Amino acid sequence: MTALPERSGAEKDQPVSDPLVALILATLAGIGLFVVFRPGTGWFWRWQSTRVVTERVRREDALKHLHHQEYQGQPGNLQSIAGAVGITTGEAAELAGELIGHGYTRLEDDRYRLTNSGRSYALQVIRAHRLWERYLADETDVEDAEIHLRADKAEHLLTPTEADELDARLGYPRFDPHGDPIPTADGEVEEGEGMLMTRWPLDQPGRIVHLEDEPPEVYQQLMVEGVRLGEDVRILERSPTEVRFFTEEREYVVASIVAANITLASVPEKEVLEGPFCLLADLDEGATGVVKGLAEACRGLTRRRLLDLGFTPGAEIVVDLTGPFGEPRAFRVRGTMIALRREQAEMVLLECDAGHVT
Amino acid sequence: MAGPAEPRDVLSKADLLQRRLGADLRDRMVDSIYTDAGDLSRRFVTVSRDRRTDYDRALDRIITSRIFGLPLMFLGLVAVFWITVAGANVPSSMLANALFWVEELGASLFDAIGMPWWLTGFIWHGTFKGLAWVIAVMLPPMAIFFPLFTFFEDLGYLPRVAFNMDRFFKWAGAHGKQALSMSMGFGCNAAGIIATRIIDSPRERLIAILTNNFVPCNGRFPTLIMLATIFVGTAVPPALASFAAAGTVVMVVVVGVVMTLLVSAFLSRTVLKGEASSFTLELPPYRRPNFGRILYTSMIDRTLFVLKRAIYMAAPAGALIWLLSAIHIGDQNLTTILSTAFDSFGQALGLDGVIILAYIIAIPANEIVVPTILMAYTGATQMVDITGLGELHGILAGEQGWTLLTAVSLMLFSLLHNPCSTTIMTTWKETGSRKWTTVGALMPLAIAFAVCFLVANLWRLFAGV
Repeated sequence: MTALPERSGAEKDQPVSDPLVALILATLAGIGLFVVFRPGTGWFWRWQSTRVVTERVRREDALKHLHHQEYQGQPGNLQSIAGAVGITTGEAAELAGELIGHGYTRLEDDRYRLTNSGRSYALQVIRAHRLWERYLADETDVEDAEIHLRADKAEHLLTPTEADELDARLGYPRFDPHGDPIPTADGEVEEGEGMLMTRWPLDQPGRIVHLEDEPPEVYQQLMVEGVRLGEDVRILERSPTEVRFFTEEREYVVASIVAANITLASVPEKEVLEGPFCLLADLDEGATGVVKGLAEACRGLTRRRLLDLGFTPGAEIVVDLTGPFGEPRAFRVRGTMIALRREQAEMVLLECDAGHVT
Repeated sequence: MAGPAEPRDVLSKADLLQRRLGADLRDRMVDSIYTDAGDLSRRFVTVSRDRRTDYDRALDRIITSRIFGLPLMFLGLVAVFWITVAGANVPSSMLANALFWVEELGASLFDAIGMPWWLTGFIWHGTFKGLAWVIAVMLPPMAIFFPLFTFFEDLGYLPRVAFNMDRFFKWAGAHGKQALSMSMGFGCNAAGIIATRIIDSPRERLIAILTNNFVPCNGRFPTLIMLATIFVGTAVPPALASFAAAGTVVMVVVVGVVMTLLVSAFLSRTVLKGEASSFTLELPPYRRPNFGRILYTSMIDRTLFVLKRAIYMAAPAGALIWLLSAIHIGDQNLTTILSTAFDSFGQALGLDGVIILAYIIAIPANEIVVPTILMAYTGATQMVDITGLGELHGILAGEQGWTLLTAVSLMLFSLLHNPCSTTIMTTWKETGSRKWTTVGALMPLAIAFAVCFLVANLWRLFAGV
């Protein structure tokens, strides 16, 4: 270290510590804190995440897995439990022994079958998982890819009472964002309806009611393409390798293997929104338009707000003001001025033939 | 049908039917409500003219324009603070003169009728002096600031501020309406936190609650205004003094807004991850301000309310300060002992021990920080009362060795430090969570320490003070 500059006493006689030393020490402390608490990869979070995997989480994950296997008609064994929970076969044997001890499952020919109490426990966890997914999708803007991961954590924390409260708050949703049925509080599971896209008749409008989230690669591809649950589609063309279809917004071409992950059901008649649409977001300042409806992708909070503010079919809209940075923009609708960001304005579908008055 | 249905059956039937209604029930209901309302209004309401007049439109175009939008907001802020600074000076010293005259009168009256010295001191030089300080320092700026603020509120300008600022809040992953709760925070942070109820998305609301503290509330403005006046105002020619002071206060406010955005961005990208959700904002038509209502709202609801709270807090704080300076251990009084203990910590932040002590005493209410500091400096020796800002400058800069750095550090600390106890209680009530209340209280304190530490040491390093 070089010699530190001499510091003569300030106006007051308190000793003032050398600023350079103080700054260096503080920088070091800052770096240390950053290493420990850095979001995602900090030591503290890593330590926490290893701590979170408790006995209870393992037990519930194993039960969930056994239920899934049973639903597929292939009861799980030790290897599949180990794979699903992420533990060694030895640990899985210990875990399975514990489950049998609690009376949740019984062993038949090397296969683990759920008892009634085990099944209702598993359904409770699944109910919490799917309700939480529904909540995240509707009421927050957590990215689609992250919803599943978050629900995997929340399912172990939500008590049945809390799940019931959430259910009521969400208005008793029937399906999770992937279209899987949400078990009721009594443990009843609705049978999924619909038909795979690979078998759906050409030119008949269908609504996407389920997007299979396994295998993850295919699901990711659907997400990237922008295929969303609840969208209405029409199939234009189908070859052995490809399916071509369009939604209210655009046209898609996907491989048959991807289309096999999409389930369609018929659309209740009144609701078929006939395209093409224009988006409110694309209107110029001063232009007018007539609302045709809200995009299916617009859900939960945003949808409720837009509806309540009067963005209902038939409403006339004038683009009135643009903010200093091009966003947000204010629209005149039903006699009031409502400002929306671009994301919300993209959810409002307009008639295309409306005159552009400037 | 055999007999009346059991409630249980009705409920389960309803449950069953509800599940069959489908997700678009709300769509259809709202649609039919609007259709019916539209029919009714077409049949029975005649509209003589469009409610949104050309005048409103022209005004909105200027206020939200790319070129004038932000500068106008900035100018408005400068104007409000300039009027407050320039206007509060004279009435403040008049009030101080009058109240300290009453203090002397009361004290000599007590002496005359033979009251013991400690009772005179406790009541007149402690409790009453604390009250006098708070009224003299706070009442004039509040009586000017609140009506001005309420004027803009009544005019309908505040939603336009939210409209102009939304792009920044969107970047920070927060809600544009946070600009409104933030503006309300200028009056009182507790009120600002309650105002976050207008934000309907839970995460964005939590961000707004946790960062509301970074706009200086009315309890902290007098501190900022006083420091800006006596340290920045005296450094420039007298003609420019009030402009320089107002400009300084605006700078502090801008630092506060920038901090709000940075902390919001940090929170929304880490602990509260998830993109900003739904944004809708209604821009009501402008209306002619109603001066009667402005006066009533700003005086009764705001000025007197805040002043009353300050007085409740100031009286015991004044008494406490008097006790601290009156009780001696060895040959030193408690004020000296405590402030000496805090001094090296205070110096590291560019402050001193007395300021730290004052902030500890002032946790219940930020309004009393300056009075507490002054009483701690002068109380021990029962010096003459300070009536003008010139004398304040003499005491702080001359006798106590405050520098421009001390003033800047104190302004930053005052802007960033932990919220007052009322705000903390409000956070707890609004979030219902001990965890977020703790974060809301300790995070600003940590930021205040860090910022003051950096500023003080960089300042010393480069300015060589």
